[in-house]
Amino acid sequence: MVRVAALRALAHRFSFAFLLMGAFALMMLGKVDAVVVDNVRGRINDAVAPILDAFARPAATVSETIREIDSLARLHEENRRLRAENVELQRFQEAAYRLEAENLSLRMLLNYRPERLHQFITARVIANDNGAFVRSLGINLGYDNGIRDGQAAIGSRGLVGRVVQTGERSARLLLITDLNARIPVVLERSRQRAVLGGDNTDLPMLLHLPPDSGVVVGDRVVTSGDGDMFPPDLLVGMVESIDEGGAVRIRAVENIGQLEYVRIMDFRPGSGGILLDGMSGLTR
Amino acid sequence: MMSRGVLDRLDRGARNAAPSAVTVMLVLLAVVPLQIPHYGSVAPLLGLIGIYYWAIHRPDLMPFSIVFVIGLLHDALTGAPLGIASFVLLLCYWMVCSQRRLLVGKSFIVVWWGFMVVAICATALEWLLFSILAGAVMPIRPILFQSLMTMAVFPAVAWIFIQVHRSLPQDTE
Repeated sequence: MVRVAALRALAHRFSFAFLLMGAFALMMLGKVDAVVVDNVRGRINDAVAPILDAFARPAATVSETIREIDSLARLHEENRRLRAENVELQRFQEAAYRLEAENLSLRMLLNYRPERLHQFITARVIANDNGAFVRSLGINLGYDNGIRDGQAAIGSRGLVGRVVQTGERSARLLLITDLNARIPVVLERSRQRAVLGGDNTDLPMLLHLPPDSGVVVGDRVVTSGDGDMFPPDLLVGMVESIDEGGAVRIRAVENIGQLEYVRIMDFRPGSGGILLDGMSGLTR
Repeated sequence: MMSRGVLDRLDRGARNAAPSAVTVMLVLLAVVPLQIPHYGSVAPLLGLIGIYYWAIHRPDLMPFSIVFVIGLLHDALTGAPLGIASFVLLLCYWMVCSQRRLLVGKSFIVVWWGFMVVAICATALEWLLFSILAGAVMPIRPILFQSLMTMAVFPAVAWIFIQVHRSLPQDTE
């Protein structure tokens, strides 16, 4: 009996050392061969995706209900504001249609080769990253649904992040606020190119912007399409602040902490146009 | 008589698996999108609370392999480099197990204090490993908030574990 207990204690201690080394080896392996580790991660995420999906639904319902109750209290005021906004937007829509038509005819005149058409797949957010050092989201669609690494993820209005790891039935998005996110962007007004770099805060920074760029607070920042990472002219955010040192921070147009659904964007060759072909979220 | 024996064993098995199962469940729950702004950066390490509680009260029901798996799950779900949480949790678990005599049967406040020490060690180690793997010094603020948040939710989560603990069959050791 004593010997069995002693053996068991030895095995216990041995398993600790073995597993600790295993964890260490995994970390090293992740550094050396990221593909293998991503595969393992994808499998784990696939396995728990249905459970997370089941959890995410009631959580979304609860937060939806809270928002509903919240908005009920301010219904009258909200209504008035929306009416005013609607009048404004109708004017913009009119202008947008006119510009789109003009754009199309000009393109025809110039024999312009149209941009690639974007196709969307809508996915549900099932996991919100809770690590202190990573900003990412898990979604409930994967390789089987046509999700591929590198595809852009957008919310209702603008860029959210990029697919970095795809399982069969789940995938992970690296958000634009993550420390490792680097996105080629352009200031819409001045066409000044820069790189948007996350630093795990809610306000990512504009990097490599020349000091005389003339950027002002409120400038819209869109993707530049450089490097073929993202399609060009996707709205990313607005310039939020410029400090004395010249550091420019962006507020993302999407409320990244509260996304319930994201659209995963696929590049496809095809006809261009953002309004007339009905492919945009605006006309749909 | 026979079927009663089997049922009895099944029941016992299920109860013995409860500590690990509840801890795994908490790790899963911790990543469910709650639509709370800034929640992600301060979310508590619920797995650590489970590891700590069971290391003190029933280490026989929480083998090292389960601790490893819980860490792996945590890393896979949060997008952290695989292995970090396993490493941190294994070390914390081992540390608490070795000091368990100081904590077992003590008042809740003492156990909570003990947890604060463990939480600080765990987040500091996590920060160190992240920094080494990333090859850059990571910001300290998020882990400060994370460890504070983890300490703050400890009583609530420990309450769940106490309920599970009460339903367990007595230690066979």
